[in-house]
Amino acid sequence: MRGTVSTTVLVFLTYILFTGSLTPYDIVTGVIAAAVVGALVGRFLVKNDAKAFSPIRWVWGLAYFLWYFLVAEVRAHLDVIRRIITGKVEPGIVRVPLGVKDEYARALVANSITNTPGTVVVDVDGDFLYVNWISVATKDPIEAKKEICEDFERFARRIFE
Amino acid sequence: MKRLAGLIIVLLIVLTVSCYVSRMVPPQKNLHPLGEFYLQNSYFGRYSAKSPEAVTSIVWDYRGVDTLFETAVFFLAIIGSLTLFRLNKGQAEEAKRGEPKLELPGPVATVTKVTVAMILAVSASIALHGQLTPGGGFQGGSALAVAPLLIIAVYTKYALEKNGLDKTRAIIIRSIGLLGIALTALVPLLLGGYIMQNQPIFPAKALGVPLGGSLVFYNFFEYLAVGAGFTAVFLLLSIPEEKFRKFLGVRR
Amino acid sequence: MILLLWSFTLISLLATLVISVYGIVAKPNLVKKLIALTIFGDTANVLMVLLGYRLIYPVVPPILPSLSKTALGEFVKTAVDPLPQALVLTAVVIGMAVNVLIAFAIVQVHRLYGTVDARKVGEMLAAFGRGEK
Repeated sequence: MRGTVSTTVLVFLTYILFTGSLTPYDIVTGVIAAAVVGALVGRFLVKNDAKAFSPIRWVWGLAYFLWYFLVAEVRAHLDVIRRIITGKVEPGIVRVPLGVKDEYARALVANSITNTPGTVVVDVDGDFLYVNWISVATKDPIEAKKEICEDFERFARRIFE
Repeated sequence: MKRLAGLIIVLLIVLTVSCYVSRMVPPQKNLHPLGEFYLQNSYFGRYSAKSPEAVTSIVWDYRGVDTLFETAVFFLAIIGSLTLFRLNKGQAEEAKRGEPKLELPGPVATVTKVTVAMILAVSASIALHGQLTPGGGFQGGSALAVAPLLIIAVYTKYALEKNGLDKTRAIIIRSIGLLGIALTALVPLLLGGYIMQNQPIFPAKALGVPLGGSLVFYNFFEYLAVGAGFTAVFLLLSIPEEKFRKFLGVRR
Repeated sequence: MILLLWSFTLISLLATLVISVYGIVAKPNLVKKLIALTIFGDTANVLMVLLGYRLIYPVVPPILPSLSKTALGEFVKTAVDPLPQALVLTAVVIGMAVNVLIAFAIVQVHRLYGTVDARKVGEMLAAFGRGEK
């Protein structure tokens, strides 16, 4: 059964985190519930089990998590704070090409862009993202990509592709 | 402008009345004796339900028959909705004909898939910890019904039906839940107790936590019944409008 | 001050009840009637939960914090009344199911008559009864 085991692990972790305790009752019911959910929806979530359990990808994921919240977020926040104070905004929508193919990588890039202040993904059309940008520095797609999401894509490729 | 004036008048009336009343309402500092009885007895005492959660022990033990009949009302409301939208065999077949189609951008669908798995986990946790923490069958079932609703919104209802969750199956799961509740309620009668009485044959404690006797069974079955019942209704509600107009023979 | 806030909460809930009853009666649109009905039901539920509240500090939910008999006395002194909460709990889910039923009926009315205005539907039914159609 493709994807069952990895989905079971995800569901079990969610169950334990939501419950907030680790008695034998939680573990037994959690394993049963997770196995049922994993068998039901696992095949839709995971295409390749080896990829889901590869430790290098998990290390990259952790590194991305730390980098994103400690560096990328802080940088974007500072930039937006400066713009709020000086009032120097030029909002507009730019088209940015997306270099990753895997659906999880695409979701990660799109959500990372939306979650940083100053940029919001408004639509996805084929291999292009439409990004609402607080200050349109350039209309050239390649240049804009360098500014907005080049780093996200590099990490997403390492984690998911 | 007229609306704003009306709003201000209503607010002023409420404020004046509450100023006037505030000297007369007694400060509600004490428990009612009945509430105190439930708090004292839900885990300790002679009439205990063996559950630290007073609300769940009232719902499924002290006032169990109330809840049994409320479940009957729920059952009838769902049956009523299904009856309003009754289809014959050919129409039901046609309602199912269609291809799953992604209606929203790709990343939304990907995130939805992961979220659905997590919602299922959370709803199971709510339902199975009803006797320990806030939650229980009703709340867990309502959370469970969100998962098919999300799938219907993002992938259309045909995606659910293609993968085996159609209206008939949802109704079967719901019936299993209701049957479980009825059987658990009837077991005490065989042992000379009252209907829905929380008898010692149900486990009071297992795996290190109190189970509250029959509470855990009721919660689990109610979880299935509520979740699957709402799923059936959502599946019916999401049949496209054009198909329904055709079934009803309305030309407009 | 606490008493003023308390009575303000109660009176504004009662006012919401009155306004929602007005909405149910006065609005001809069936969907608006349903919205008013849900507001009515939810306000009634909030009022009921409020009946079990206690104006003390600290106040805790009715769940035993630990399974020892020593904590019971303190718990009973600070916990809110569990009975209204238990009654509301089932009422919420039943209310949702009944609302779904009414919403279904309204959708069906719209499909058959092409309108959700109660007056027009009434006229159409009357015309149908006289055999005009």
